[in-house]
Amino acid sequence: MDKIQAYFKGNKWRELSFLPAMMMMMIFFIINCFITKNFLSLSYILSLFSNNAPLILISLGVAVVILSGGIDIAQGSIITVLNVMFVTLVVDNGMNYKIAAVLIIGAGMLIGITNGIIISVFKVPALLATFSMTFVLNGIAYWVMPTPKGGMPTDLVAWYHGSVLAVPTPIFIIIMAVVLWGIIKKTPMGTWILAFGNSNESAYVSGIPVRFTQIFVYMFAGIMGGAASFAMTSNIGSGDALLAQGMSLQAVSACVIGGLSLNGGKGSLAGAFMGAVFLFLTSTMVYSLKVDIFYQDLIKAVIILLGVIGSVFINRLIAAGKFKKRGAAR
Amino acid sequence: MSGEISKKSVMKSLYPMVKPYIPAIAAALVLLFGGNILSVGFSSLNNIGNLLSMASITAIAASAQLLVVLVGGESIDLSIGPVMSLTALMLPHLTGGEDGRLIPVILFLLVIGGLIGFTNGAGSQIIRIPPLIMTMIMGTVVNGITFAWTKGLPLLILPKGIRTMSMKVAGPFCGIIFVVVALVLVLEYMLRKIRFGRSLYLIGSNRYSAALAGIPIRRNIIIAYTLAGIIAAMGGIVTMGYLGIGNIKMCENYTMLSVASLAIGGANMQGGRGTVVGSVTGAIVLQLLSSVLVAAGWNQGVRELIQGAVLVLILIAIFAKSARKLQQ
Repeated sequence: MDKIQAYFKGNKWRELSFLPAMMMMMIFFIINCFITKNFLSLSYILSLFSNNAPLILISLGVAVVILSGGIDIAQGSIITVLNVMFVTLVVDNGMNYKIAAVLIIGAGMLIGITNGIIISVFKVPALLATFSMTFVLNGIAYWVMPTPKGGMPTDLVAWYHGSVLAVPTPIFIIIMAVVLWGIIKKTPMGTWILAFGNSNESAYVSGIPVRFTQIFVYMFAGIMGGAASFAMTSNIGSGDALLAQGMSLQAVSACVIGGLSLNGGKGSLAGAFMGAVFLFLTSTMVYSLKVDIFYQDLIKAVIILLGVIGSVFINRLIAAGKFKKRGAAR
Repeated sequence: MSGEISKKSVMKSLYPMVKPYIPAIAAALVLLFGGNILSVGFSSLNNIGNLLSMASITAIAASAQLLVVLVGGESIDLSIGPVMSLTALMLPHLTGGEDGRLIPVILFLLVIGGLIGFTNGAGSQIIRIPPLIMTMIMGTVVNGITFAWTKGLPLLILPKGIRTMSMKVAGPFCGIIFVVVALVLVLEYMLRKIRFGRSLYLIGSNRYSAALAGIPIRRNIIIAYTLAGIIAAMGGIVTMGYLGIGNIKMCENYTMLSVASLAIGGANMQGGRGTVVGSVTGAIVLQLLSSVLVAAGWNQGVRELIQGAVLVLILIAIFAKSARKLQQ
């Protein structure tokens, strides 16, 4: 108990940038307990995770990019184009879905490397580079598959809704992603990413391979995009060129709500995770309130806006030391 | 003799003014000839009139984007497309096809656009949400409003007055072109001659020295966002008048097209440099490109792919050059 008090009194306050997200997540969790039927049943929570694993995965990928001081708003399009590729490979070309899954995650990696090269070698600002990549990727998706197509093997869908090593598959995939980041964090690369996010110049001067770090970060995001696309395709079992339209925005919002600073170097993946959970809890709430369908989009967007405003505002207060001063005065 | 010298000096003084647009103008000419090879009559005066009308919509979006991008600091407005869709679809709803209500409704819609722009500016400058996030989320809010208002079924009874946009007013040129010409003149005057307009360039090129010069930075940036919202609202109204048809996300693409027009038109995407005329030139090039791709018979996916790829290449060309300068 003393330790906890010391933790909150000391400077550690400032590092807990995910606190607003945690608070909002808990508030919406409690609201959902009251208004959503069977919300606390295991099957409902599992279905929430199987539907939203893609969002959580790309939020983690974008979070790493943001930690390095960049931004990636092409994730939704990466999911879409890989979803279309996956379905085309398996349904049209009769490829085994396991090989196809490896291929699309590799393709995600390649797209990420392309982004990284455009940003690090040609010095195009990350926002503009990924923004224009969005249209390239969406164009490819629409070109390959102008109309939605189903027919993925039922094995795959059953596997996704089943479990691996007694852990439900969607949660298993998320754990794998977190473990991957945990390993990267322990290598020099983890330090490099944070150092580069804190200050590009000092990172360059201290001999960090700046270009490699940047390319690596976008590659990681690309792999997360590939995994997310795999999860999404396994969940719905079909392909659609308009699949993940708003998801880039949701992933970036999740990171901002989770307290990551877009200037880089500050924040944690835990924050991004909580931001993503907050986002899908709000959608769940709006659905179970049985709001007229025409108002659902508006209400969801307004809640996200308020969430971002609240999170940015509280984090600014924390950074300014408003809370710390009060603790120190006692 | 003296005439020749003055001619030369005029050419010399004109050259730096025209220089930034040379790539865009060259691209436009190449596309025009290419299109004529693909389909006969592509570069006929009538078709050029149509092309310019279509480019006008992009040009308005690009002018709005320019004001925001000029102030630098990662400023960008990704809610332009949604605002255009909103005002375009609210126009027939609010007027109900009556000419008498046209002017008040247009004013009301411009105010709405201004309010959305103001919210963008205030959110990014006062609460300090990064402009990208602020305007992107604002875009989804605006799309939500459009959907809630129209209930997914746009009403399409237009007052006759607004349809002048699609009527051939002078020769092959529709009303919409003259709206754009007026807008360009007003904005160029503002950016070149009025103190507020010139302060935007200073804020964009060096925010610190702008502050030292006593320019109210936050206020001017918020005004720039507000103006962008108003221009985007105008763009929506004019688009509806020109097309006469629409759906919920009819102007969604114009956000991307506006950014691309600026890049082609020689504006600095990190602020401080760029002209309205250049952005309009960029819009014309993009429209020509899109029309050539249609004439070549390619579907929407390929068109989007090529437009995106062109944007990536232009960005690489622009920034690779400045990166080389930095290294030296």
